[in-house]
Amino acid sequence: MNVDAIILFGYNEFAREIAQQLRYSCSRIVIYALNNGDVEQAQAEGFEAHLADLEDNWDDLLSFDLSVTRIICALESEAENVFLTLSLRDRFHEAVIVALATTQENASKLRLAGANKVIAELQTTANLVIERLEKPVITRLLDALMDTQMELKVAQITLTELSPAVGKHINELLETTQRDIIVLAVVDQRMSESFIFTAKGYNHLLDPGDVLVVIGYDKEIKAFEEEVGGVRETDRSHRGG
Amino acid sequence: MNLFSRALVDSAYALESSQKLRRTRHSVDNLMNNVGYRYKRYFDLFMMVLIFSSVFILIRDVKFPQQDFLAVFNDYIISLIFLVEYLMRFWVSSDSARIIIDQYEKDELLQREFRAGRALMKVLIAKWRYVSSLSAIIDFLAIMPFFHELRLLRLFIIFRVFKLFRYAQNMHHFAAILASKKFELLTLFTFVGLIIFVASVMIYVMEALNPDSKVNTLFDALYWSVVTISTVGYGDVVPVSGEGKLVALVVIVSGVAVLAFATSIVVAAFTEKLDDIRDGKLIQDVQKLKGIYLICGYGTVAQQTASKLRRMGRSVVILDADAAKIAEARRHHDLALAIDPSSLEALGQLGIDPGRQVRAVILLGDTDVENVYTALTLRSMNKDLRILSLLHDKKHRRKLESAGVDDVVYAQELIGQLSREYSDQPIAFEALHALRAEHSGVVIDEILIDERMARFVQTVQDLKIRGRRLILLGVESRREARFVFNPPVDFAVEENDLLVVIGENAMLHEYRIDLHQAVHS
Repeated sequence: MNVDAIILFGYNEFAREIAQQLRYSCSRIVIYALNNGDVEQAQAEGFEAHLADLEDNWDDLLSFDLSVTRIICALESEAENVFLTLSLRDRFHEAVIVALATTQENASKLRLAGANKVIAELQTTANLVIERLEKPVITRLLDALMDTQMELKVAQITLTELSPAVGKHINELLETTQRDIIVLAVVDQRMSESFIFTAKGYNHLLDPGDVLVVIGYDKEIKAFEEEVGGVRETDRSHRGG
Repeated sequence: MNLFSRALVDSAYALESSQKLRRTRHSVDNLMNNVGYRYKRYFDLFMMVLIFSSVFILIRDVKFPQQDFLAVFNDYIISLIFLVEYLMRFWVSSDSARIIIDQYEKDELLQREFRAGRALMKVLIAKWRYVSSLSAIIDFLAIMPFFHELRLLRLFIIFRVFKLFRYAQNMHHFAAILASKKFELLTLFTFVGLIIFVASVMIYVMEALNPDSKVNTLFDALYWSVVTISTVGYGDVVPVSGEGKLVALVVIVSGVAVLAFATSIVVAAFTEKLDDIRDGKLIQDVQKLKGIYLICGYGTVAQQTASKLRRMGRSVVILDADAAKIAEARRHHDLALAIDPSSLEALGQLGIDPGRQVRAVILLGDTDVENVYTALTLRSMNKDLRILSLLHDKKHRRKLESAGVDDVVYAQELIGQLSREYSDQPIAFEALHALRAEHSGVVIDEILIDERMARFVQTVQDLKIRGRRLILLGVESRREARFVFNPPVDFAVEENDLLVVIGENAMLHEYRIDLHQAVHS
């Protein structure tokens, strides 16, 4: 994992779960909470935690290499979360900011405030409930793909200038590969949200810098990576989205 | 026990144990009395058409010569249909065999002799109770035109109109509302009756001897009082003496008061009963549904879940004990009822068969305590019911599972997972998320290989997915009891296997149709 540090704002039940999930895959997690109670609780649970003030100009964050850091805004108050996102984006143009939103309306505001990625809690929960009931097999499968401990994985491979796949159409690549993998999608611009799903865009011409999203077992993905001369990347900063 | 008593008890047991008879009786009972029964609506509609036809023929007869076929239809066919209906209602009004058996078993228990007379008396009383009910009397009078030779009995056709009360639910509601204000209405009618009586007597006393007055008899006086108190005031009979006009003033003022009082009673009754009527109507609607998602507990997550399920064309019913929350749910056009889902008695009001009508229960209460309690209630109702619950606090997961919840959703864990995934492989995460969210036009879906498909499809190659711009991600194989990723073309596909396919919505839809058509061809 190329992300080196996580800066987490807030310590509510969602933020706590995020911290727990990232605890062992990230070398440093720093929590900034707006009240002493949350700071003490985070420290008691073994995290580095500091008291923060929304009026702060966030000089503390200058000590982080923001190219390998993710900032997660998970404050309890929607208004405070938007204000914080806006302040951070204003100060750190290149930072990758993930924000939690309660509703879709709040999510739009957070995107306007400059969050790269917004996770809407309500919609996500509702979708999960429905998925579990309507498409149980798919839910299990997608959960497994997101679980790094499982054998079946989803990975992203970036094509280099020297990649033999460059200049080929996506369907050519799929027909010639001997690997037991499925290429799910291609992203033309790095970290863009506009995906070209292979089920839709068979004729897409592959260029250097294109990112292939593949599903398969780890060994097969590695072999495919070598075959197409790509690089498995996990760190890209972007704006928008 | 004498021979007759023995024969009576044996006959009762024979009738009680006859499956065919019980099924027939149950169907007839549903057709006559169960508003939730799917065919009752058509039966009621048919009967209403007969009633209106009958009245139309009666009106037509007044000025036009009666045509033979209309006369036969009205006097015989409709009357016979009503007779059959009357007899069916009479049959299902009480279970005679059951009454006899109950009496016999009670006598056996108390070690006393079974007396056929006592049992038969109970049967007769039960039947008489039905026969003497107002609705049964109306039904009976509606059959009378059958004896059309007696001209007076032809007028009984008009009684058929009253039968409409049986078939129009709204009339039932109207009657129930008025019945709920029986005391107030009785008070009003007593008051009105008293005023009419006093006014009639007074106006008669004041006006009867006046040669200019049209009030000559007590009936004229009564007629004037009713016309005046009702504020109709035709003006054909008016008081001419000063004393008579004074009485008129009092009656006119009383009439306004009576009207205001009557209006307020009816309006108040409707206002009070409106919620009950609406709930009754909703319950009837719910009873007709199949594949229901029952959401217990209403809040923001429930609102999101319900609206998404409705967009998918699913039947959603929301239950919450809190009337304010239900009012909020109804604002979003949801089928919502103020019923406590953790109460067996309250759930009984719904009158649905969970095993047959409910696809899954979704517990979205505000606390884990509430969800555990509701889960236990539902599980005690039906052991096969699929229950999913939202988990609020991680440490309560085991309790929910012990209460019989099949699926536990802990939103915080998922959000944490998403955050981690986004920090780790943002593009891969976005791709999966886009698939999940279904807003890119490309979806991931499950296709079940049913019994008919399994005859036509033996291997992955038979699925003919290649060249269709669809991706077969894998097969959930029942035989191998696992998910087989990217299966080879010769992989055997069997009945009840699930295909996981990715593709454009339209492509997937077309593929499903083609699969079914291939089976049919």
